[in-house]
Amino acid sequence: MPIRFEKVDFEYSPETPFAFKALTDINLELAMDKMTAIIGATGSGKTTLVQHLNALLLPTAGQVTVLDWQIKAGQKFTKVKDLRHRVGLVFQFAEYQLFEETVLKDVCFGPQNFGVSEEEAVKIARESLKIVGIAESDFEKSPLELSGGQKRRVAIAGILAMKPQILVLDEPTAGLDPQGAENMMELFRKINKENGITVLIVTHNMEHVLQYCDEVVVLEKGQLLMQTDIKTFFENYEYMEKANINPPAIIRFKELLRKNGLEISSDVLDIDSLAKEIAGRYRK
Amino acid sequence: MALNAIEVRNLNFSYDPRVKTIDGVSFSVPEGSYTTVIGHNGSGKSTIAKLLLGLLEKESGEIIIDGLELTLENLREIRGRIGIVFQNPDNQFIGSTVRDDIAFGLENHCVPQNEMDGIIEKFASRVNMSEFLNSEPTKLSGGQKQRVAIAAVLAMRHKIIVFDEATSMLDPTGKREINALIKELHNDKKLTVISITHDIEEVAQSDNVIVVNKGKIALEGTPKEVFRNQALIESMQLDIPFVYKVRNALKKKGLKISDELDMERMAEEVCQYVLKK
Repeated sequence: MPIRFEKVDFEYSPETPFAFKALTDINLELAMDKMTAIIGATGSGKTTLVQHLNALLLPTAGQVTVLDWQIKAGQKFTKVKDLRHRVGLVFQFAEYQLFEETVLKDVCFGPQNFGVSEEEAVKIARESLKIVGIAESDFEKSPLELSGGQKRRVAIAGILAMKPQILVLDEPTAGLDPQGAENMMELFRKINKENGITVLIVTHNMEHVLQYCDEVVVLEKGQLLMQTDIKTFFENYEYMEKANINPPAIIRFKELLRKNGLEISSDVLDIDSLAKEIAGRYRK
Repeated sequence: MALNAIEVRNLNFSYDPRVKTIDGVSFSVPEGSYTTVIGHNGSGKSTIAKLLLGLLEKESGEIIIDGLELTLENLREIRGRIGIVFQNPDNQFIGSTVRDDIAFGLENHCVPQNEMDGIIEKFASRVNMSEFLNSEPTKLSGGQKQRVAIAAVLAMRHKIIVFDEATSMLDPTGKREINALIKELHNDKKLTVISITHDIEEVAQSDNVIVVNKGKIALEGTPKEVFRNQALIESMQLDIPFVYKVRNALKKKGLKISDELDMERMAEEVCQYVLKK
């Protein structure tokens, strides 16, 4: 069951002097079970696009299919609650949304909202907090006592507790230090690979795209520019330059080597394989 | 001997009396240098910045800014010499327009009205924001707001500017713009730049690096000197520049490449080494 956009337009404040078309003619099919990066410059429509996935925004033209549901422009969508149960959306700076007295209560809020008993909600909340790596000793603390990275993990646990099939994350590592960001990305990989949840990530970090994602969707000025697998995407150096994308260090280095006469295989995407290939060439 | 823009001797500070946040820290920053400060979150690097500006009061030790020891009495004088640009572009925009925002500091320092417009225009142009002088902050991107923050600091004619993770909340374009601007401002070496940063490539290009760990100075020196200690740096949960990782991986394979910090020169050297036969 896919995620499909068909001829989707989205316009903010249509028919007003402030009308702004944020998405134009988006045709897109996203694979389930993968980790997909959504990239593009600020204002390219990334956030607008992902907010269609749980009907936070409704298309002003075309239709969006997510799992069993169809959201058509101009038609009332009545299954919002069912959809949001299955598609979890984590906003930018999600930690600002924590509001309960304790970490555990905050995570219980979602499942209880979807009609789960209190007892069951606590059980699910505990599991979710464990997945995101929050220690048992922090469960009864106020969310305010935690660090920024931990708070964000609690917010993500709150979404996971709703047992979504699709997890959408809008710039989940913004503002974290490099180590915190890596740990966060490791967490999403785990959620994707071990828990079998489809993960979509809006990001500016090309190193993360290269290291963690399977597919990439590129937006520019509200239009779909490209959708491809990671390897193909990073092979196309000229394209990245044209699209004003700063390639990951290893891709830039490979390009410099190529310019100096040393062509490295496109399969080489990490430092160890790079060193191995260079050493192999030297010995020949 | 070159003068030091900043000298810190045996500095101590705690938020909580049971934990030493800054523990006997001493370091100096040469005048006109581009010095970067790195450290894991909670290492104390931002606390040091706040102590330098007198935004926090030290417990003991000495802080000398531009030859003048920081005391409660001369705070105003000190803050005329050292300025700071913070991380979050939204938390430091005070004025209702770009013009007002730059004017704020000048007004506080009683700059005459008739001189103010000229100063504002000069520094707005310096950070490429001339055409936005009458814009409201909501109409500006994060990078543009940080430019205004920099202009406001420059307008005060500080000799030393501290950037406390000034690009960490910006998108890649904003980051590139601000990094290029800071570099350009530092070009003539009249300004001393201290940048607290997680951007390891920025660190690689700086003159000096100070590594802070658990409230102490763990390492200090040029980037080359500092990044030679890969194991120690990584044990502090810090990254090392990409070129160093490549060099070390090649070394393990028996290839000897010099400790070059520039990616382009490193690529040339690798190619010469491999293709020489």
